[in-house]
Amino acid sequence: MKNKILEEFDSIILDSSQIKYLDDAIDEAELLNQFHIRAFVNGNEREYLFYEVLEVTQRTRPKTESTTNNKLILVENNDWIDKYVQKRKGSYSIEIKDFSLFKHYIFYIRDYEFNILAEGYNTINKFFEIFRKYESMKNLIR
Amino acid sequence: MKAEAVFPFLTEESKMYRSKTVEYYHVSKKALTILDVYDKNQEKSLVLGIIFHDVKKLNQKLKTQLLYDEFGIDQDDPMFECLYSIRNEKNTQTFLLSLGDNVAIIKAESVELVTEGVYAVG
Repeated sequence: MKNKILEEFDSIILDSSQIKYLDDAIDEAELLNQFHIRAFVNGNEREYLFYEVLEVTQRTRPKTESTTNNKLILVENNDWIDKYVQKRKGSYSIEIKDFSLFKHYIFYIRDYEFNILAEGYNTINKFFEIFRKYESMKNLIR
Repeated sequence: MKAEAVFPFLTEESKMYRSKTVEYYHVSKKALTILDVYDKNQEKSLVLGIIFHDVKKLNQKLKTQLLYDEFGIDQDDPMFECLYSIRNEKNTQTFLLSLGDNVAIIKAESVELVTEGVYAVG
């Protein structure tokens, strides 16, 4: 698999991940999902916000696989998007004009492997909380 | 194998603007989502928290015929309303949560309903 390393990390710990689905009947541009990864990078909060997300997989890698290299990479082939376009045929879906805008990212954080098919991502140096803003909900997920 | 509704007495409320969030936490291996539902047993609307315990996988995929076939769901089905599950290996279930034309697929040990202290956010 050909790919490009976007970021490598000496110290990274996953805090949380988030699938966010938006369905706004008024603004069709808002129909696609978001995927967030929150991690402590060298002890500091960093949130990765992937936007216009088509598909995501999150799994824990078996111990036998190398779990030492923490990195975010961009896969430089179209295998996943080609497969995705094929699968979409005949299914009810919102229209997408240009599939070439989407990219395949892989994020390795210790035991975790995330595969993300999205248009792009931004980062912020602070966690954007939704559920954990509330003390009662924070207690539920402890 | 056929996926079935986990809580057949719940239906999702329809709203003009909808958003759903599924959040996974590394420390506890739990995932949480909040839904606006109508409870047919209690005959009232509720804000409901669903907690997934010991999450192994969390995917977001497009609803396709392939997926319907895999989970034994009819295409006339109201798009996996609320939460569906299928039991696979011992101690794990695969949960399906509808997200518009996508679905969240959550492989976890069990699921728990919470109505106290949850708010319609996210």
